[in-house]
Amino acid sequence: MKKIKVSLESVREEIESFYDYKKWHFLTLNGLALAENRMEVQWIFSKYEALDEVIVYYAEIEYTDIIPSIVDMVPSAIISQREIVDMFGVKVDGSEKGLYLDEDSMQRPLSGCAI
Amino acid sequence: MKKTINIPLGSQHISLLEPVRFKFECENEKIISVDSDVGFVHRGIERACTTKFKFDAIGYVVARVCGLCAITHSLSYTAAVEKLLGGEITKKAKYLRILLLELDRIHSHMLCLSHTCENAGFEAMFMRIMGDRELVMEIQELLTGNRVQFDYINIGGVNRDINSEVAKKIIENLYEVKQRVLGYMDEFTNNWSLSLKFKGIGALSLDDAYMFNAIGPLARASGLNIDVRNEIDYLPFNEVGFAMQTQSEGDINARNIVRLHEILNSILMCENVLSGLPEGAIFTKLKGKPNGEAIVRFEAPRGELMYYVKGNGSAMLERVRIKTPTFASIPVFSHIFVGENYADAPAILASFDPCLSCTAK
Amino acid sequence: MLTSLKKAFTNLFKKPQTIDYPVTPIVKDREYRGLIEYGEEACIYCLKCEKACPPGAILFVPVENPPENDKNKKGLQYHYNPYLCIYCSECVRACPKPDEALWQSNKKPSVAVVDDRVNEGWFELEKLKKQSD
Repeated sequence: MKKIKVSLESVREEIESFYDYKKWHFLTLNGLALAENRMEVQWIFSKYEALDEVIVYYAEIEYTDIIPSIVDMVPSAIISQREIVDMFGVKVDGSEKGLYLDEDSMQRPLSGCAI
Repeated sequence: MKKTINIPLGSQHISLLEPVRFKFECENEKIISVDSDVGFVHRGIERACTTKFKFDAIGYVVARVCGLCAITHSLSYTAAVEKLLGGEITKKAKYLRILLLELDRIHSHMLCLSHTCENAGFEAMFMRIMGDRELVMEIQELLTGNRVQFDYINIGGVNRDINSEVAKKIIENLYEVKQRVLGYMDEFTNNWSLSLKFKGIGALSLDDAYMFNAIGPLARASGLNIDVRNEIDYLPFNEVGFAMQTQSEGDINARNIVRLHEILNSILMCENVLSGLPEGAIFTKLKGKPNGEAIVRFEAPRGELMYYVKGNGSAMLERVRIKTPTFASIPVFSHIFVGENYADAPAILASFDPCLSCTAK
Repeated sequence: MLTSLKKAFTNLFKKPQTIDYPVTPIVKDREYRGLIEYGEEACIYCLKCEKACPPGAILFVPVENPPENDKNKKGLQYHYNPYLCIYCSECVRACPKPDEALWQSNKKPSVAVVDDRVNEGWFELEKLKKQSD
């Protein structure tokens, strides 16, 4: 597992220059609650037909930041983007709330400040 | 005037085993756009794993994500924790893990095939396959003590040893299953309601499979060489005769044929495991608490399953991320539906073999 | 066509694949994972099973008339909730005296009634346990 740190501004360029859809496939978008109202977002990719080659792009953000969407490059990212919106209460470009959670359920359950 | 009509499929529908809702926008009979809702059975397992349970109990918690691929869930989680603890398990434990993993794949694929038959209106075949599936369920019960929730994998090895009686019974039953599956192969290639009706329906091209990151039998039916068993080394799949099964047409029939070939390959792997089962202990005690982060992937019956585990040296974990195969395939499902007839939608959906309790976890 | 007709005809005289439950009982394998059973005399009250149980289906709660056992210094009583149990047998593996103090049978739990402390009764025990900690 290789981890590459990116910033929210540069993540789209980084992924665009690296992602070849015939060589890599997108695993998932992962979130991780950190201390002091911060979270880590991870874009995880793995290589076809290679022995356990996984690349993780990660950025540390505040909950108020808006995460750029990568759906135009990786169409399958839409579903995990919607999940992270529900689970962490962050905003992702063009992804609406309500994949899993209803209005009356616990909101942003994984974020460390669940309500 | 609006020319399209909206038709829902689900959340309760006779062709569905589990709740999912697709909203189809149709123009005459053709589907032109799809919207999906998958969160009907959300149980908050990821949160429970980090707030309620200690790391050594989570293997049993995540097994309850899904009944059909329970073994892959507990195996992936356990492999991730073993990676963090840094221990090596015995070869015999690895072989027994493969054995159960493949038995699980056989019964899950048989369930999917029977369900496909049911959606084609072939009830008798549905009954036949479900009846034959009992042969596999029976040996799973003999091996682990339970038909569905195996609770067989433990951090450090497996929970039960295999004795010669059970091994003999497994060989006998698998031989029987093999004969039956060869019989289905004939039905699925020559019977009109199962093969010709399904040819060219719900097709996914290779390029689209790459584009939408298709996984599992869905991708392999389109000719995409993705099978995680080929890409990992925690378990010695290549030693026991793993072979990638692919087709090129990408339609419903190709998916069924891929599943049938995979059953045969899994039977072969089980037989090889039993004939070459090494001697030794089945359990190694691993000490310490997980610290650091690990990503582990396994091939569940429906495709690639990913676990991300992060620990901080205490008994409670910081994060458990479960990426299930059906969850990652929802975009490709929606893509395949576009351009098909509404009447074919239940059959196409059944051929995906969707698992919604995995998806909503 | 002929073979399928022949098959259909012979199938008429075949026995059904299902068994005639409850007239014919379901045969349970000897190794089937069923109820956890407890032998009080051999128990040394180390509480390892309680700690190992993933769903918390074993509780040792302090009571007024505890079972007479030299090892039972805190006056505890064993409680087991078969309707919470997942039959994984982690407790049996954790037990220092398996087969004597704690073992797994192949029996199924009976249908639950109120006296079995399924819900409210069990929550009370959990409260007692929390207070004693």
